[in-house]
Parts: sequence; structure tokens; C-alpha cells
Amino acid sequence: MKKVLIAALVFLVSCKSTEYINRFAKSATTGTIEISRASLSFGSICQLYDPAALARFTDTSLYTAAKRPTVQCIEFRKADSLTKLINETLVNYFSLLQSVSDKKLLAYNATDLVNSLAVIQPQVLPALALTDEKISAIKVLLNTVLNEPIKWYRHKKLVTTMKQNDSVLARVLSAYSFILDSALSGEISQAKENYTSFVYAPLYGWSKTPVEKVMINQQYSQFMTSLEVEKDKISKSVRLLSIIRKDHHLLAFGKPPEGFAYTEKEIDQDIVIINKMINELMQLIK
Amino acid sequence: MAETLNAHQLIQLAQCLTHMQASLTDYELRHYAELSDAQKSMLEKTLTQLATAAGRIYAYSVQLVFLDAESQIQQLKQATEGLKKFLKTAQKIQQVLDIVSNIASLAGAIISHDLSGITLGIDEIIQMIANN
Repeated sequence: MKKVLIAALVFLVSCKSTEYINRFAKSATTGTIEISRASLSFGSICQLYDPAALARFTDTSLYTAAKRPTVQCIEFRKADSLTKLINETLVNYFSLLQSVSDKKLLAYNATDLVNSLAVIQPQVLPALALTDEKISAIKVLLNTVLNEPIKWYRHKKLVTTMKQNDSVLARVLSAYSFILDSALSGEISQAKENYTSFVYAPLYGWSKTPVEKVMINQQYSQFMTSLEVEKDKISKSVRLLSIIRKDHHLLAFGKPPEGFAYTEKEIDQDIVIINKMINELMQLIK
Repeated sequence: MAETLNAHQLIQLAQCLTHMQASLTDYELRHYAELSDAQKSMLEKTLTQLATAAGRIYAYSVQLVFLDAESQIQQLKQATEGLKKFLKTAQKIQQVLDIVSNIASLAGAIISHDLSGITLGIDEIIQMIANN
């Protein structure tokens, strides 16, 4: 009967493993950090691609220096600081989920305690007659008894926190996606248009020979390709955020009727995708 | 009708300005030879104004979307603080368990009259309590 109870306890608590939450949180933390590293900042877009900055492309010995007022980048810098704040909030949340779900961080090893008790036992309680086999069994039992409540306590706290904040996280992730996908992506489209208006058009108009025109077209293609890379980073980042949002929801509530088995399968697949996308983002940064 | 634009509407407005700029640039490229210097200058001035306005509106939309999500961001920060406190509590539980192990070890040293073991055990326990 005792064995059945212990087995039931171990089985019940092993279901409360925080491993999947830990794997998810680790990937989500790395992913969110990489999104911040990969994204072009609003401030740099303002400095590099505003009409005055781009006009410098046409300041050659052939053409006169362009005169355009310098754009104030206050709104752009403010956008950067707000985006950074959202990113930091997400990174902090995910890294705390990772720490609380880390089984190594809070695991208790009863070996020292059992060894110490084994030394005392022959003198204090010689009648117990503990054999090595019994000591080893006590170690396993004590580890379970001391660790499982901590594990259960952590699992309960994690799931409660994730449930309470799931819709909140969804809203913050949606705001972050909007900033990347609409505002930053819009700035990149604008930068492309600015290049066409203030660099390509004047140079193309001034160019006389077909060779000159070919060179200007090549330069134009290179510039557009470089900004397409930036857009590619944004679309990867937005996809990453949507996977993070889905996985957080799955871990908090599970998905009926398959329940936690479905969640584990999904998380397994998604972590592979997230890690692949993090690598792709890192490649794009290089 | 709402008196102010929301972040999504701002983006749409900025996109309209970007498209307008694209159309004007396209016109300039197609008719470059026919345009007078004064017309080119006016076009360039208009393009600069459009570009500046669109750029600022895209950036400004971030402030609006942030304002909309501000309470949720605060809530997420509070949740993070809650997890931080929980982590500290759980670490304290582990420290208590470690102290129990050390006390058992000290008891062993006392019973077996191991003087260096007793000194070491006491030092470790003092150190653990001081760290808490």
C-alpha cells in the first residue's frame, strides 16, 4: 500500500514537470533578445534615410551640394525607447519564467543529509541497523519527499502566473508586432521611397550615357536589396512573436481534448522552429 | 466619428503619404527632361515635406500603440516582480534545507569528537546564516 502511495505521489508530481515551461521560456528569452538585436532602430532610419541625409549621395564633384533642412529625430528616438521598454519587459518576464522553472536551480540533493545521519545513526540509534541498501533507499525517498513539494509549489506558481497574464502577454506581444510589422516596416518602405526620390531620381535624370544609367540602376538594386533584408528580419521576428504567444497560451491552459500531451508535442516542434528562426536572424545580423 | 486617429489609422495615413510620394517621384522620372528647374525644385520641396511627414507619423504611431498597451505592460512587470519574489522565497527554502544538512553533519562531528569537523561545521552554518 505504501509503495502504491509513493508511486502515485511520484507519478502525480512528475506530471507537474516544469521542463516544458523551462524550454519554452529559454527559447522565448533568446528569441526576444535576438529580435531587439536584429531590428533596425527608428533613430538610425531617421539618421540614414531622411531627405537631408540621402541628399549627400548626390554631393559629388559633378553635381552641386544638396541643401535640405536636417530632420529632427525626436519622435524616432522616442519610438526606440518605447520599443526597448516593451522588449525589456518581455525579456524580463520570460527570463524569470525560465529561472523559476529551472529544476537545477532549486533542486535539493539529500545525499549530504543522509550521509551525515548515517554517521550519527550507529551511535544514537544502533537498533536501526542501517545497511548501505537502506541508506540508498532513504536517499531516493528523501530526495523525492523534499524535492517534489518544491517542484509542485513552483509548477503551481508558474501556471497560475501564466494563466493570469496570458491575455496581458497577448496584448503586449500584439503591440510589439504592430510596432515591428506596421511602424518599423513602414519606415523601411519610406526609406526606400526616399532613396528613389532623393538619390535615384536626380542621379538618373542627370546621367547622360547608358553606362551611367546602368551603374545607377545597379546601385539602386543593391540599396533596395539591403532594405529587403531588413524587412525579412521583421517578418521573421513577427512570426517568432506569434509562436511565443501561442506556446504561452498552450502551456497556461493546455489544448483540449488532447491536453498536456498535445502541448508537449507542439512545444517540441515549436522550439525547433524558434531556434531555427533565431539562427536565421543571427545570420541576417552578420 | 472619433476625434483623433488611432495607431492603425495613423499607419494608413502615413502609407497614403508614402504612395503619394512614390507617384510624384514616378511622374518626375517620366517627365524629367520636360520639367523646368523651378518645377523640379517645387517637386523636390513637396517630396521632402511628404517624406518628413510620413516618417514622423510612422514613428508617432509607436507612441499611440504604447499608450494603448501601457496598463498591460505594467501588469506584466508586476507579474515579473511576483516571480522574482517567489524565486527568492524558494531559494530560502533550499537554504534552510542546506542548513539542516549542515547541522546533521555538525552533530556527526560532535558525536565522533572530530574537532576540525566541528569548527568547519560551525563556520559553514554561520556563513549560511550570514548569507541569508
